Amino acid sequence: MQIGCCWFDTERHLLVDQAKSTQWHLNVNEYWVLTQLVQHRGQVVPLSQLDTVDISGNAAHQLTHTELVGIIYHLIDYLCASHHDLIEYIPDQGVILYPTTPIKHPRVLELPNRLLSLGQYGVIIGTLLAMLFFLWSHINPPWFTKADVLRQVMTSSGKVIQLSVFDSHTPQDAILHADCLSTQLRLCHDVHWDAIYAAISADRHYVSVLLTQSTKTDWLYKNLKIRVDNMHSPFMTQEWLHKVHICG
Amino acid sequence: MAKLLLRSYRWRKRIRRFVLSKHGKLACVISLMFVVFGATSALEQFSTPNHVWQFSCHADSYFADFQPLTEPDELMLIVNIEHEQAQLHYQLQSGASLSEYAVMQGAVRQVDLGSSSYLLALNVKTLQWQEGSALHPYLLNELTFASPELKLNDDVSIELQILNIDREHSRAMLTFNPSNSLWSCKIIPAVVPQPH
Repeated sequence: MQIGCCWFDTERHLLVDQAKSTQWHLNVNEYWVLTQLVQHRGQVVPLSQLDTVDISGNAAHQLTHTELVGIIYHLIDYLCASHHDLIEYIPDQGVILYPTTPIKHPRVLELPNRLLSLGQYGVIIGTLLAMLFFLWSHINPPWFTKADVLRQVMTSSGKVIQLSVFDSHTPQDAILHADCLSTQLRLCHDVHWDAIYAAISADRHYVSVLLTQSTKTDWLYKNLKIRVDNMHSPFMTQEWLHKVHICG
Repeated sequence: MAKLLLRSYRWRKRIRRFVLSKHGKLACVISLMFVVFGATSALEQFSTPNHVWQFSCHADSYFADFQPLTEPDELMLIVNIEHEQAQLHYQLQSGASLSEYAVMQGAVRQVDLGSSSYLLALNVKTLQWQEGSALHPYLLNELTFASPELKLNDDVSIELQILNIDREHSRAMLTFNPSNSLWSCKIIPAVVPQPH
């Protein structure tokens, strides 16, 4: 039977605290007092009823007042560590074992038939964390290449051209060539393309230019690969833009 | 027969007792976690789409020290990725005659679906340079080849990233890392389109 956080094993005269995993072997006197309290749960049991130990199989004997009070305080200490006011001693009159204890939501580990020990919980949580770590190490966030310089250029005829320059090494070069190309494009009367992408190679000797244009029915594309001797100086001239048909 | 039944009954009882015990429950929870984990890993493995790509790319190349008034040469690149196999075929044509080419074959080492990039480990299978080759220095740059000469049977490691694909799945924008070379390529469909 459950008394507070303890299980009272009437057969083996044991009081088991499940929260602390401790047990107390009750002697005949202690067992007698607790049994009497349990049998009259919610009522004040007079001291005169408790001090005569009368258990079947044993000869009845009398407890002194000091022995009885000692047993009662011992029980209160053991049972009321986590459940206050479970047993109340009324001096010179009697003792009461309250039927209900203050409502307390038991933790999983304090349940009478708890499923897992702390170590076992630790194993499960550890395994879960290990799996999560493994999954986390295998997830790569999406990675997108973004242009380093983005410009919108309006030509003399009013057409807007999207200009994107990719250069992961030196943004200064990207800005220089974007500025140069923008200037030259503004001077063009007619530009065939909607968008111009330029990528400067890592070894600074080549430029990949990609031209795109959308027509009513289709998209037009053109790749240009240009060898440049000195990447730090502007190289795209008006004449060259005409030659590669960027300008009309 | 009766013995067998008895034995199976005992085993069932034993298993039931184990499952209901603390250790059994713990074993069940942990094995369930492993089953779920294994199943998701297997699902991820099998659900990975087949990597079959064929890109055909053409570029006007101005390699002759950037002379603005020279006629451009035609540079062609064909990229084939078939599951674990990969091939790059470069060809530079000036005028009507076939001038220079290089073919590299090898394996797809790593696929990163997040960035749509393929790490290719290739070997130079065929090449032909002309005197004062224009393709050779270009390839040294594009493939970020360490030594000053690209020879037959050289190993090349390169990352190819698909930056975007248009809505009709007809063209893709590719880039080579770390050389930062940019290409717009036509996608050759892996499946022959069926007439409607």
